[in-house]
Amino acid sequence: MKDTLKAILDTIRLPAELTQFEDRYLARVNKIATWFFVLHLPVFVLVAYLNDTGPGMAVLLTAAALIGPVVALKTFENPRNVSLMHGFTSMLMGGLLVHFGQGPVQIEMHFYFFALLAMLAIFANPMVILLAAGTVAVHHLALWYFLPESVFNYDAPLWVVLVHAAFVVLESVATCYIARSFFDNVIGLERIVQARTKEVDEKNKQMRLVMDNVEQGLLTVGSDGVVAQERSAVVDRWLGECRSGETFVDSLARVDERTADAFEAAFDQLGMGILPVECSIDQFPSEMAFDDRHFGLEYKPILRGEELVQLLVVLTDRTAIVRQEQLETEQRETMSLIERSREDQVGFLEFFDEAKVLVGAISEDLCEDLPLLKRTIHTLKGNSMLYEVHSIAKVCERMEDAMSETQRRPDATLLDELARRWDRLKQSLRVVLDAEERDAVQIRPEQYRELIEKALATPTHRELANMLMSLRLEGTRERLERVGEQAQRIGNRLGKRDIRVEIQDGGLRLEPARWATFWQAFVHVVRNAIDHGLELEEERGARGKAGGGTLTLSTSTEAGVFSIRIHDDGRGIDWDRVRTKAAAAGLPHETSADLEAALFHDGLTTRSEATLYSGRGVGLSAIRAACEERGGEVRVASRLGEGTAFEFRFPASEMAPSPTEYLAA
Amino acid sequence: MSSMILVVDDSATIRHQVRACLQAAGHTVLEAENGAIGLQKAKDYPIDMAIVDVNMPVMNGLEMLANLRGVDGKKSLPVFVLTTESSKELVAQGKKHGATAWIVKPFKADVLAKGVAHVLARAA
Repeated sequence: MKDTLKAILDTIRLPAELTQFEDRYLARVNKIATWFFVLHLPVFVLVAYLNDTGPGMAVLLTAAALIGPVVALKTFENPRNVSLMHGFTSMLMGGLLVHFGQGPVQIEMHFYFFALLAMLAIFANPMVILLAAGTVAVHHLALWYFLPESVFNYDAPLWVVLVHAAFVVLESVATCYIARSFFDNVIGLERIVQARTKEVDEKNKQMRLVMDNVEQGLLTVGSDGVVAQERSAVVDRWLGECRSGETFVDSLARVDERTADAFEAAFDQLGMGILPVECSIDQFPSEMAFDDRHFGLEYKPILRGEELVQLLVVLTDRTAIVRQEQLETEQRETMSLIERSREDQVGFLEFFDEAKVLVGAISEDLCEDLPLLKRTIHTLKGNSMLYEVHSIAKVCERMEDAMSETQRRPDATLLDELARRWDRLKQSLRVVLDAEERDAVQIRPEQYRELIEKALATPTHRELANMLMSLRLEGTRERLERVGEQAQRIGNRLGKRDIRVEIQDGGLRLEPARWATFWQAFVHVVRNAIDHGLELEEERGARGKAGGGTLTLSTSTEAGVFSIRIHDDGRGIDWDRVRTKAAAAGLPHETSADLEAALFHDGLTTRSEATLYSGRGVGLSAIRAACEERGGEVRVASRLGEGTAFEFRFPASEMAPSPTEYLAA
Repeated sequence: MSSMILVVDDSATIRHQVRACLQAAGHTVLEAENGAIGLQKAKDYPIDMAIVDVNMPVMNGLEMLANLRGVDGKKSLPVFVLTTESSKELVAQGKKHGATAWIVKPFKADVLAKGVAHVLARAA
């Protein structure tokens, strides 16, 4: 009961505070109501005149009733109080109409009370209605008692007055309810909005707190590609401040154009809806790296039906994890290289020196044309694989993939990655490299020249001069043995474990610097022989060939010709296939010389796929170039099923300078 | 529903992967190692779809696609392009030559199978 009473009182009483909206609204309605009541004056005069109830009195009494609202309008500060005055005045006006409407339709004039009560709902204040209902009750009862003809045109008993009162109560209850609903939902809307806004602000603050402190980059991208304002603070820290209306592609392009491109392409595809959403999502870039940092990217589409509304992107800084992995890999590689340097010091130093030159040429963009760059990258990749520096081989592999797809130079990020990896490798190998220097007996070039000059000056010391010269030369045996070991390592990786290597060096020695380029390129021929030439053991068995295959490496001189030869007893070259490939590539393919030339052409490979070791069609063109550089020529002899021999023939004078030539140079 | 799908890639490994995933979904798979052979097979067999690598010797995937669109009855054949990097230029070229969609390598077998099923169902 108490609760019901409280609920009724709460419905009747409005909250004390007036909003700006209510203030403006009531000011307007109160003004209109005042004018509305002023207009009653001429109407009542007319009614009094027609019913002969005294127009003069109508002027007087109506004017008196108008004093209240006019004074209230002008003086009351609280517009709700003005409305209360209107509630009171409205019933006075109702009473005046019934009074001046005395006659046959006097009873009908009572309708006006009910019409006015209903109209009072416009003030959105139940108190106005209650005041009006109270006024009419007192007015009716009093006049019925003291001046009954002012109210009824017949001798109405008390119960008739009570019936009228009951109708007023019913209407008032309903009108109070309507007024309050009107207040709550329309007049009080501003208050509701304020309350809700406050709630939302509070929630936003909490969300902001989360977004400012979360370690992942959370952001949403609209179907137009634009980044939503609400995103975690790290997004702007990582990608730079996103301007309002900026697309995510623009944000990404600031740090990594390749990822931006890939994102744009995938986002377009997602928008087109050709593939199922999960398939399209799978085409988005999942990682990116810039400024030496690594990030993972994940995506979650927010759909309405099948339509993309937003894409939630989650960026995770994976730098620490990637660095750790990188560190472990690099440590493994360094250990392996140190091990190798102990086993084969010369080979290791050569690898290192050559790689230094190749990395420089690639990362400093020194290669004049694309084929040369491809060859250089390919050589570095192959050498790195041989020495198990997989991190460098992988960068090379990515460069090759990017180049073969775009037919352009690799982008700066990859070049930079290569250079940085190389620097780290150099740093970690300093211990070994310094040790190499410590162990060596050093002699300055001028001292060395002086020794040779002195030896040559005495005829009996010619032999000594030659011996001194040979200090600078490298025996081809060591070189061929190293090549043989490389061949066996490649074989092991390709599942060709029992390759026999035969070496015939002929006791020859070469000037190392002069032959460095050739030996670098020679690795391509070795790789080809192992990868494409020698068959797997089962295949050899099926062809009636014994063992895992033999690779013969030899150097010899004859009639002023120095030759380097490599022979494998593998599957041989399929010349028909070379002819087809040459024809397809628009190369001459009629004679066997044409076919040999085609074999060494840039980009021509008889393989339909590339492996990590060979197959991109750049290796043989590299060896041809290196051979021609030393004034040599290449001969190929190969029969299908029997094997392949490459012979590189040079003038014997190219092997090393004589002491006199050396001094002259 | 079983469909005949042509897979054109110069890498036998990739062809093998695609074949395995499509055969598991009940499709018949034809293989070609470059665009020229692919184009010929597309003319010779009643294929329902093709999955084409971009970078291949003899004839690359985009050239094959351009030629394929000139073949009677193959104008609207669904074609997926396999790419290593979905660069803007490449996608633009793919679109120009009528690629239906592109799939970035390395791909997940289930994703490819779903994409193929979806596109074949739409084309049916």
